[in-house]
Amino acid sequence: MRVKATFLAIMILAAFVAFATPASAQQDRVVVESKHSFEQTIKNLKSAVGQGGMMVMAEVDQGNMLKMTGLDLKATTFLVGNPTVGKMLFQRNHGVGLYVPLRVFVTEVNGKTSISYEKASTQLSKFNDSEINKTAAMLDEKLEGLARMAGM
Amino acid sequence: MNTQLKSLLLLGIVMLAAAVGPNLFPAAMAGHGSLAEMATRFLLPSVAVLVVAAALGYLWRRAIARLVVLGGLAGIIATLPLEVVRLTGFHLEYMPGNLPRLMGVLLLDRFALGPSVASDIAGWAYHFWNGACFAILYVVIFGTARRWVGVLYGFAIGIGFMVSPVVTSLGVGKFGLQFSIGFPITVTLAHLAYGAALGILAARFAGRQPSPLLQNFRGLFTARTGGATKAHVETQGASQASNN
Repeated sequence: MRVKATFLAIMILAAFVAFATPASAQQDRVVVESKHSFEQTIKNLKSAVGQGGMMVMAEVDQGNMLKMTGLDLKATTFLVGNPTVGKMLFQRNHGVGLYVPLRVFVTEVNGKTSISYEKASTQLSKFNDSEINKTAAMLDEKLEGLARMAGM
Repeated sequence: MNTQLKSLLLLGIVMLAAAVGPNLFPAAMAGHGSLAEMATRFLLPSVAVLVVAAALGYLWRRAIARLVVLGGLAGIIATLPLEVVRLTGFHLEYMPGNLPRLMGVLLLDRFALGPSVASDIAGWAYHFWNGACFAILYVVIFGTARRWVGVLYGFAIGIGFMVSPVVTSLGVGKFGLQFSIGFPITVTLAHLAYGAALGILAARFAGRQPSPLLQNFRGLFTARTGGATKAHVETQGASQASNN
């Protein structure tokens, strides 16, 4: 009886973990539907980045790159950030280099354009640093603002 | 086409071409395109237009061409005291970054790779070219007669910079106050130094001259309204000066 109860508890816990992880991962990854075309959304995003006190540091046009493989799609990733904020983060922990500059992804699927990104607070929480966490929370707000402005 | 109109046409072309360079960086930081693309499409052609306009001006309106060339030279040299102040501020950590180096990586589209020798050269060249362009606009609009006007002009450029999309995109708040009080102090002092040097050098190189823009507008207006004999003589004098 006791073994059965323990087994049941383990099964329930396993089920919880199995279903909870994708859900929380979904929360960490933010997707915003855009009201505009792919090209216009990108234009809006670049403008919003500048207004939001950040810069587009690099652009990875995956759609164009994948044309070489015969795949036809619209997809571009932007590396966005602010050198002053980046300096502070790197001074706290060089490991942030894996996540900073932040990535913002724009793609068009079935005629609908969306903007997605992973929350900075999720990525940078790994460093267990209060200053990094504070900055990450600020970056979350900025990304939310950018995505909203680009998609509206 | 009468003399004043020809002069105004030349001045207009010079002003438009000179205005391109300083506006590209703010436009790029506002998200209207990459600085690299804008440099190819607008900056290089504007440089060519200015060179051609100055060359043609030497054939037809020598006084204007001379003023533009000497004004540009004064602007390039006047950028040196600006740099002394700016670099001092940067090393005192009053500035968030080294702007010519940022302009360089953007011009060569290598932000993610950071600066190289080539991008540093491009960035500094663009920075000093902007110094020349602002100076050309200064001598055309204000002339070189009043050196103190250079100081006000430099101050206005500094303020303009601090409220421009460049500073907004740096994320340092209006006038850079979110970064450091040293930011607006450095920027203001640097541009005052530029303006003061420009006022002095432009007058030294080109002599004390009135605004050619204003002079030719006045001459055109006077000629068209068939002004009094005195005004007519002044117009003749202005057209002769323009032809020399």
